[in-house]
Amino acid sequence: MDEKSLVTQVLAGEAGAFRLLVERHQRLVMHMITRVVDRLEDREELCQDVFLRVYDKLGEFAFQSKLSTWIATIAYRQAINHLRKQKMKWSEIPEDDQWQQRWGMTDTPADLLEDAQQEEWVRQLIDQLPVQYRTVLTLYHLEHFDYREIGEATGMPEGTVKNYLFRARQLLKEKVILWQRSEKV
Amino acid sequence: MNPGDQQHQENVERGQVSTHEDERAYQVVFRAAAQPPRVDITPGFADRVMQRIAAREVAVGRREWAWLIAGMVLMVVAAIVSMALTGFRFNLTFLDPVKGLVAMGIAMAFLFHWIDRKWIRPTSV
Repeated sequence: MDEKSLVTQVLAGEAGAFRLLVERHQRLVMHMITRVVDRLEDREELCQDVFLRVYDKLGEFAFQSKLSTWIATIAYRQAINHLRKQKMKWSEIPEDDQWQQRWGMTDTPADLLEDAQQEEWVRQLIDQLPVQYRTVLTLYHLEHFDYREIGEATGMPEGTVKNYLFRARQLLKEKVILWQRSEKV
Repeated sequence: MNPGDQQHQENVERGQVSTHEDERAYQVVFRAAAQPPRVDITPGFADRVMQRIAAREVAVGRREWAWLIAGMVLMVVAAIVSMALTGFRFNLTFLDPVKGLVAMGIAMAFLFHWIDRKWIRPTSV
């Protein structure tokens, strides 16, 4: 069933259609929430809240973007609002170089995961990145959104999306190189 | 943006195989970023969403009825108090000359309401 028929059926009050919509997008929403919200116990309820919001607002969806982009927008806002309400760490990306030196230094791969794969370690590093970097990385690499769609979902200008994606990858790459060099020694 | 790094990222994104240290590191980063975070969508997630929607609709329905009843009770009380204070006597004889018109007005109101519920609302929700 295509997006348009699905939305039409949901708006006509077919519960089965909304269930299908949830099943199709639950992974996307869960990825978004997981990348932004650290507390495991909050995640499922937040995901449910996202779909309740989708249900309430679906009549306003005008097919100007993909349904997944629109749902990702709601998920991102819901997650950020949650962080704000809980007064959890949500701030602009620090500009100082010290932050970049501190980032990822709390756990060295050897301390943290002796036998684990590099990729697993990088995934843990991703979780320590600022929320904006994590979100952009997730939407681009995992959900295959383009820059415009990420901009729509997060409210960031396209240039900022490109810049955050570049910086996030660069920061991670530098850590990987440090690890690879330390492995060779 | 560092042009060297930008080039490396573009090369890796194109799937170009390279032995350059930066590009090999970027390959690891790209692979890791494409891995889903560890999330467990517990079985029945969609069911729980549907249950919350159903529960909320019941609650909203109850609230709407409560407001309706409260409004009607208040209206009746206000009417009784007003009639008691002003000595108003119910008299509709002024409508006698336009009885037919009033009856038609009421009938039209019911008809439009019925058409709205039967045909218009289901298609415009």
